[in-house]
Amino acid sequence: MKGMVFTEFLEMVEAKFSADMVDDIIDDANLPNGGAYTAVGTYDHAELVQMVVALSKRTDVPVPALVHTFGVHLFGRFHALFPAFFQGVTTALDFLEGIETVIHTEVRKLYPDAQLPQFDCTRSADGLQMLYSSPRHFGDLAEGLIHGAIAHFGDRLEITRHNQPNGDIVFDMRTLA
Amino acid sequence: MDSLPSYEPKPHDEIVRRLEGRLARERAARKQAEALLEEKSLALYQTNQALQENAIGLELRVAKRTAELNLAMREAESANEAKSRFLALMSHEIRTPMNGVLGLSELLQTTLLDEQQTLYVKNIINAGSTLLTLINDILDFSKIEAGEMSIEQVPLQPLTLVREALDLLRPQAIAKGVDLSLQAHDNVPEAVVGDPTRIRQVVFNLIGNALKFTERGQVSLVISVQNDRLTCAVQDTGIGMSQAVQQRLFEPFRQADNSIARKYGGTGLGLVICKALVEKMGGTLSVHSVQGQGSVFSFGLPIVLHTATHGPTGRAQVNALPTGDGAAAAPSLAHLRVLVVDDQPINRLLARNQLARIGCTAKDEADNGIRALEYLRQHTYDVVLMDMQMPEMDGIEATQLLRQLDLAIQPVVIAMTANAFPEDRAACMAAGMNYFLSKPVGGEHLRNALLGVATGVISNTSK
Repeated sequence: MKGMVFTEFLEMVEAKFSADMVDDIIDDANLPNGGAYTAVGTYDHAELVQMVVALSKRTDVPVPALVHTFGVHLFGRFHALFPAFFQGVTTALDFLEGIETVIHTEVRKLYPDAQLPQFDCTRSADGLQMLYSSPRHFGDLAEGLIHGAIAHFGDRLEITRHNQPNGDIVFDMRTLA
Repeated sequence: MDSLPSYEPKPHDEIVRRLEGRLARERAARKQAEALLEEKSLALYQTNQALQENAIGLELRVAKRTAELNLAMREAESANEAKSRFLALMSHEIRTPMNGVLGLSELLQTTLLDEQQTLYVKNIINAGSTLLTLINDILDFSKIEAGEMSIEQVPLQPLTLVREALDLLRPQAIAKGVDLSLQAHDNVPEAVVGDPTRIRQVVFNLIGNALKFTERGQVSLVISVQNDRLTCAVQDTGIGMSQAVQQRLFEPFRQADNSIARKYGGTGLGLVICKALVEKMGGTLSVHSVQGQGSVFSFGLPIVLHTATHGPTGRAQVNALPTGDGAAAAPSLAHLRVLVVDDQPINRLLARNQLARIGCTAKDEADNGIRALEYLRQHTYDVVLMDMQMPEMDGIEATQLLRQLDLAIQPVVIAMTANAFPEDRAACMAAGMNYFLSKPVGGEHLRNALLGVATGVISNTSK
């Protein structure tokens, strides 16, 4: 997993809780590199899971809620860091539909070996269906990102989540009249 | 996340421990980033090196390919030169025996023959003439293909030129029972500058074609000035052509269809050559035809009026040669002292007999340039009939040396050669020759040339 996700996570913990909380979850998680992350590096996603679990224990907030919050936060950071991806995009559905075709294409140019989650999209007259599929099973993170996007564009959408038996998730979004 | 746990204030040691921990983390992260940077920089450097090597490799390959192409081009050029040399050689080699065949056949015709023999000789001459036309067509086509067709700019009289062409074809028209006529508009200039040989060739070819494809009715040549162009239109009442046939008309080796080739013969090169010649002279050749009703082939050439600045030249005077039809009024040629120079005994025999036929005699004969000069030093001649290619000394060198001799009379030198290219003619003129007859030399041509000498139209102007 790209180092940026780790650095953004720790910055969120520091902002929403405290610098001490960052120290504590790093200590609790017993990480191989002592919690030293750089945005340009690549790390095992299990380390992120360990830190989220540690944060959940210390804050009594369930893991899914924390991951979801992180997803919303990540969308905001994404918008701040990469405004180019938002030029000419006016709706959440247009943005979400372009993750696979536009954004992931650009990411692969910089990191040819990046292991990216897959978002297969099917556009319909009144909405969008996204099939999320990733060996890391960060469906909550994906849902947080989707919510962050919808909130950013201010669209009125109804979103339903269908967990699939194989671990994939279908997010069904419909425009509200 | 509403029920955040509150953290108690920490003792001083605890704060230091945490700060040291964060410092260690930041330092470790920095070192990771630096290691990554180093790794990526190295990879970038190596990629650049590889790119540079590729670029050099590409340049080397381009240079190699360019060299290969240059070599291939030189080979192609030398192959083309070889082809041109071969053509020139073949032209000479074929024309030399044809000269013998046609010339001697002509002479044979003048001897006492029975009816059957007369027919045979007539057929020999017809077949020989056809073969010569074919050789000339193929040579012309090859030169056009090679872009080596050169066009002369000399004074000429358009009306005289087309009349001559018509006169030559009239027997053919009479034999077919086709009426052949000339309509000349008043606006045709008396003299223009152009290439008489090529214009004659085009006119001859178009009228010849018209006669070929016309069984009854008439063929007419209309010469006029239209839109500032000297325009010749050959109109016939022949079989005509469909649109489709007209489109293929100017493609080499194509005739209207195969049945045409079987019925009328020919190489299918005539019109291709005509079109190329007309275009080379700055004009256009066009055709209008309706199947079953006849065709009109016409060409227009830009007009360059003949003015004094062009001056009379040897070539110009040739057009004014007496045409030999008023034989009674023509001056006698008996007084001309003629030296025949040719290495081929058969050609000397031919020249001797042709001279005898037109009332002239070969005073002496030489079989190379050195012998010719010996005669020229010791005797006085009015005319030298000079072959070009001879052993020991060729005609060019002999003429050059002749012109340096201090003689009472410098004779007129007439080149008689199978080398038919304009460059050959130019070389003859440059060497100091005065006239050029291309072999096979017909008796009439020789007679006209000698009449030119006798009347002073052809004279030695080189001093």
